[in-house]
Amino acid sequence: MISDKLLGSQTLLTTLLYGLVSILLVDSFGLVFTCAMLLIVLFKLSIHKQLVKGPSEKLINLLAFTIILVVFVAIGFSNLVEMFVSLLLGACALKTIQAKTKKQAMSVQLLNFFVYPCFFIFSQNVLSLLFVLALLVINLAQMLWIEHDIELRSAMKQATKHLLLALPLAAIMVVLLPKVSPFWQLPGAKKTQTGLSEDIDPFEISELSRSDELVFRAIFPENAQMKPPFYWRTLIHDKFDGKRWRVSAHHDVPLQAPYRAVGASYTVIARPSGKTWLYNLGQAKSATRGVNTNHFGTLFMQNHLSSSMEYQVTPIHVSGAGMVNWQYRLNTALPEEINPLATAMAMRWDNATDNTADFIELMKQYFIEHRFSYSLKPATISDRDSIDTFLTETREGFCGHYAASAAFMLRAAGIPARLVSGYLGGEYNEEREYYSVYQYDAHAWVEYYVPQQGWYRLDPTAWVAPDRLIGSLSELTQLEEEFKDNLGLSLMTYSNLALVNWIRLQIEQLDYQWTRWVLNFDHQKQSRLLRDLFGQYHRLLPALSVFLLLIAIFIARFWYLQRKQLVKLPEAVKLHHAICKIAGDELHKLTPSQALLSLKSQYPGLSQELEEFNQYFVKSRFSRAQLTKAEATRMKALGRLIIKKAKK
Amino acid sequence: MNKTTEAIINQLSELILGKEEQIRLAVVCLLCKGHLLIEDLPGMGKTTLSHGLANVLGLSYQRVQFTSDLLPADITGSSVFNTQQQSFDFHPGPIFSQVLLADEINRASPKTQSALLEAMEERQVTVDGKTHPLPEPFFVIATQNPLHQSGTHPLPESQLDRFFLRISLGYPDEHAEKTLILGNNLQRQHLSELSCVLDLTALAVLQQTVVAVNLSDSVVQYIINLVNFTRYSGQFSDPLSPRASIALGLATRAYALTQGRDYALPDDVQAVFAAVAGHRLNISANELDDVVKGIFDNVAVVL
Repeated sequence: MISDKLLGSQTLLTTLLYGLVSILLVDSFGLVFTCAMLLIVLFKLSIHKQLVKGPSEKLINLLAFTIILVVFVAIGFSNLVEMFVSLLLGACALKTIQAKTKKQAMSVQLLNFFVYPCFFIFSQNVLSLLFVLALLVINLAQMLWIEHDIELRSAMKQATKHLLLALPLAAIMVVLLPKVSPFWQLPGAKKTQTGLSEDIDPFEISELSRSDELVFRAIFPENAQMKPPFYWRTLIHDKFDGKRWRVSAHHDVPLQAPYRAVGASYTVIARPSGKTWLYNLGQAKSATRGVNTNHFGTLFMQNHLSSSMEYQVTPIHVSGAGMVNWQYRLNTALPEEINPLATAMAMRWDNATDNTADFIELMKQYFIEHRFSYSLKPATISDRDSIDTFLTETREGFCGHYAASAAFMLRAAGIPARLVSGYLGGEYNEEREYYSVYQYDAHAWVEYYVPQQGWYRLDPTAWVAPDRLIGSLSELTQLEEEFKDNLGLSLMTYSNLALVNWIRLQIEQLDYQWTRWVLNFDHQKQSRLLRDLFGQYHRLLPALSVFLLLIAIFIARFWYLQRKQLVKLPEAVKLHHAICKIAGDELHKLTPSQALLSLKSQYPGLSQELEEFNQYFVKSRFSRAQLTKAEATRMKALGRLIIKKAKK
Repeated sequence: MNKTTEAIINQLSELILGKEEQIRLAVVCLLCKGHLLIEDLPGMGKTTLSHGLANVLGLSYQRVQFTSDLLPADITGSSVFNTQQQSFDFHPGPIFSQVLLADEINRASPKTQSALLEAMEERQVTVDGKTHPLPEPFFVIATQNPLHQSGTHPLPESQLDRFFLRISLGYPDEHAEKTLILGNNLQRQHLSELSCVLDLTALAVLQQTVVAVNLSDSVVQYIINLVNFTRYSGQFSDPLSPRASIALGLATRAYALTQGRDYALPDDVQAVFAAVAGHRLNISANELDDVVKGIFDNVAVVL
């Protein structure tokens, strides 16, 4: 029977782990819920330290009610996944506090096999894999701890062993088991805290909350000859209401205009974003199922991107000859009577020039002459004529400010223009030859329309900070301080230290392989691999593997049950069994003396040895006296001798 | 230890031929401070065994023939008015002896039976509100005829449990019977010639030694498995109680002691199992062997 103290410390450990999980997922759950969880942990801790008494049923019910309220109010029904996961976490935490018996504690441990993997809903990189694995090991160890009352250290050892034993099986299952696409989609499981959004007003953002979270990776074929700068077009904001740039409803309209393929295809591996948009350079088509091209030439999916996904991108060129009336209206639309200064400026330039290129040149001159500067922490501009204020007063901003101002002035001059948000650049991994694009690479620029020719890209940020166009933002030395300030505590912050950078790159590599070979190991890749490995028989393989797996499970179970009996047996009994096994199956059911009699009648020549062996055996098993070392050795020798002779 | 118990058994074996195992069980019962029930047909040597046991141990012996008109007071004793002293004097009955043979217990009325059984349990007799302790040791050997014999009041299950062991002597083998017929073994004469092999203190020491016999974990587990089998196999309407498992453990120890060992073996469990469990499982002596064999076949020995 497990002692109360042990049960207490083991449930305390579980609660602490819940606390850790809720801290790590604070971005998803919100601060209120995490604080509530931490309060529960504190409560449990004080129960454990015997500062307060264990909760009554009434109190637990009250707490449960409070947790439900907190979840509903703080997380709400719009984030269903967060809501349900947090409810589960809260329920388990309360159950852990309440657990008084071994059975209750055990049920919580079993539940944890569902609770911990929920972490994957929010993050699927290698680090979270390792974290969840560690949680599972601790969970297994706790189960052993409760069940067998063994020391935690040896329980951990055993649990790790169990898990390591299970890993090859898991690997085989990943490779061989038929791939079924998920039965349901998680609706927007991931809130984008950083990076892009469909609806932006750059002037209201005082500080870009940047993160070093990976967005996607791109792998270019060797002959692609892609050259930076890489503008990853993601969202086209063509609706402007005077303050915010929005994505119009046409974003999901499939491309109908004629197009032709240009250049070699490349591969993009996107991280789950909970959104429908994807990433591509310029205009693109994709052969991957479920990926469509909209009429802007960017890629999108029908469903939310809830798990890591790999897709092929083929660059295309859409003939941009005509523009329909409503499109023209939409892309030149400006609310009246805002930003009078900017409007006047645009009118003046428009009158002074006769083509768009000259107009843009004048705009560029303005930005350069008035010493605009690039900053990641600009002052917020919240008045109505934000662009005017920016252009004439603050003159400090990031890509969004420049892009929004430029697009506004283009529209003011009657040139169709729109804001584009996406990513710029990416970090190149030389060893594996791929680009990694992080959230901090998010960028905004402008596209303007030239009649009979099509849309052109314009990046006004480049006038102010030309370095920004080369590589990744992380490589921009000029902004090092600001950039790192924004990033907070992350490996990237300390990437100037050689060791830290090396570790960061290793993790990055590992993560790449993990994404490539595990997360994105889909049906197509599976059949390709199986075909390579097994030739024409590959089609039979999944069925065969399921069959073999079932047999293996059956055998393993049988073997385990057998072993379980043997494993606790002392040496003497094992020997006795071995001897009996040679003589006959049923002998081990007899008492030692009955077995001795039977053995003696079967092997009269061995009577003396059998007698002596039995003497030691009985002494070791039933008497209070222990066998001396010499006697034990003698017994073993006798046992082996008997088996050897009996076999003859 | 071995020598003392061996001497008792040897002595009695000369008296009752070819029944060494039953005699050993009777000694086991005595060592465990239990009471013995012998179920058998008349004339099998029940009386001889009990009398012999008393003689060998040097204990006082009384025999009560149970009949249908036997009253409780006939065994416990009664108070008689003493005219000289103007008070009631207690005249103890035959129960106030160290070895009491309750012959053919199932012939007596249930009332008398329970008077005896109560005294066995409590080791004291209460008459007219006064409690009289019974002598130490107090060993009851009850005999009963097989239930199918007419005119019997069978002991109820609850009362049967008060007997530590039940044995039956059974028919003697051919050799023993020959000896008996030829009269070479004159029992009654021999009885008085039996030498007392140990005194009361030695017996008390012996009884204490029983508990010191090592009952290893595996033997305990074997006992538990056996008891559980009677409980969960569904084959028995009266499964073994914890009192029965305690008795089984104790008897196993005593049996090991009579074999001269200070540790018990699974063999010891098997040797006493029928005697301890038979009457508690409500199995008649005839069927006992088969049923017990069935149990042993189903429950593996724990080594």
